Amino acid sequence: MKKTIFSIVLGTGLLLNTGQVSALETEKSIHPDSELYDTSRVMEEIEYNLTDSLSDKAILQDQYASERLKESEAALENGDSETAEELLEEAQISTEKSAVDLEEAEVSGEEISEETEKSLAESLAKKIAELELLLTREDIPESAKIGISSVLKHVEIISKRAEERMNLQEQLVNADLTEEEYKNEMKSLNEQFKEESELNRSEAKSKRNELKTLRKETKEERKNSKKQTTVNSDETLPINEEIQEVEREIEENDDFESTDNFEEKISKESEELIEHEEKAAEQNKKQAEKAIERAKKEQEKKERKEQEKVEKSNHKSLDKTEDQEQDAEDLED
Amino acid sequence: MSFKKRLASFLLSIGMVAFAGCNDNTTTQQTVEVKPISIQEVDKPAPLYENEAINLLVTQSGDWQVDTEARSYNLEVTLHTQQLHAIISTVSTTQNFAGVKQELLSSVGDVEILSENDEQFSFQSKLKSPVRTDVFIKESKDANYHLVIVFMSPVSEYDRNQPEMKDLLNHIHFD
Repeated sequence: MKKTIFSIVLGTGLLLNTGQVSALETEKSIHPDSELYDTSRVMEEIEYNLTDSLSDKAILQDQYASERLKESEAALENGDSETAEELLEEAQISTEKSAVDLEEAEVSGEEISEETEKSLAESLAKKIAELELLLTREDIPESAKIGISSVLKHVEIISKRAEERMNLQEQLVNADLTEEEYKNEMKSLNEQFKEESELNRSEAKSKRNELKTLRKETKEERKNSKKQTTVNSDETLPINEEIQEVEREIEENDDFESTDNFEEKISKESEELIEHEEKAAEQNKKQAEKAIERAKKEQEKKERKEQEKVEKSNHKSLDKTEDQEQDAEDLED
Repeated sequence: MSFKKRLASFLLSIGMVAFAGCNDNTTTQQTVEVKPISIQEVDKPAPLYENEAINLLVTQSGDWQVDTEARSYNLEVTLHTQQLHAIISTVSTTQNFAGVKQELLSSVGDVEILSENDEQFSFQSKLKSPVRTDVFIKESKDANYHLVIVFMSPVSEYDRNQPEMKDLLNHIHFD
């Protein structure tokens, strides 16, 4: 029976993998921007706390994980990658809680219906398919993709563990294992799972941090290069404004672009800016040369005028002395 | 005028002034004492939760206790008494009953609708130990928001909790 369930899981997974339309897209969910979103989250918490049955708790957590995935997809559609990443993380936590609750239900001897196991297994397969489909999308930012692969990896671990748990149960039923051996095996399986999921989480976290620092560094480099190339003249003011505009644009689009596109855009824009600045510098040079020429010409004009003045005054004084001499001669006569 | 007559008129005038002064004091005291005491003030129970900014008042009733108060897009207060939990949320007046119902139902997964009318709907989860949810929407002509009141309890406890639900609903005042 359990093998049947597992084959259903695999089968469903394969079927869903081939599907082009997202399963989650077709289902309705409350949008994270809705006025009633917080109320719905509080309702989830209360419902979970009021539920006594551990297998019911597992079903609820699985349901919440599916909700978070739908919501994160909605956030991605809106270009809000930060919220999408947070929701993905919550989806991962809920998937983990679901697995833990189911395990506790089994250990505590709670009767778990075949229907419950089947629906949970199907739901896991559906999530794997949905996450794989999300990863193929090109419009999703790199950091969100890291989150998605982390959740995917985690769900795969849970799925694998469910398979191993089923094998152990089968061995217990067939008397291949004693009850004590079964418990010990289950315990080591849980520990292994915890280690794997912690490792997975920390890997995802460090990748995200790396991405963040890379973004910061690129921004700082851009700012520094801008400062160096900025020339304090009126001609460069429009360029500075353009730089600021580009920076603003980059900041706005920061979350929506993958790092590759982001870097490409930065290099293109910086090339364009350098070209602009070079042109402006050439223009400045030409204008300065013209100004110098103009100044030289004016100087020459001035000099010429002064010379003319001097010459005129010399002529006048010569005329005067000649007249005086003439007068003196006339008197003598 | 004789001295006696002058003295008598003088004493009479002093007496008049003294009487007028005493009379004035008495009036002031009476004003203080006669300050009207509202019957409502005497009967009104202590507030369990009060938000003056939006004129929302929940008065003490039964064993209800306030758990949390959150303000993000809207106000959200959670309360409980034993196994019964309540959420009081504010929504804008642009939200109508149909909208609230649609949004809340889309967030709860697979449920069974139990009842619905113009201002209330109820549903329960399809689990081994189901939880029942009752949602009420209260509108006021004077307030610039609607109230959404959600009650949640295990189905097994529902009948016992019904009076507590009604009690709290009657103790919520807003305008």
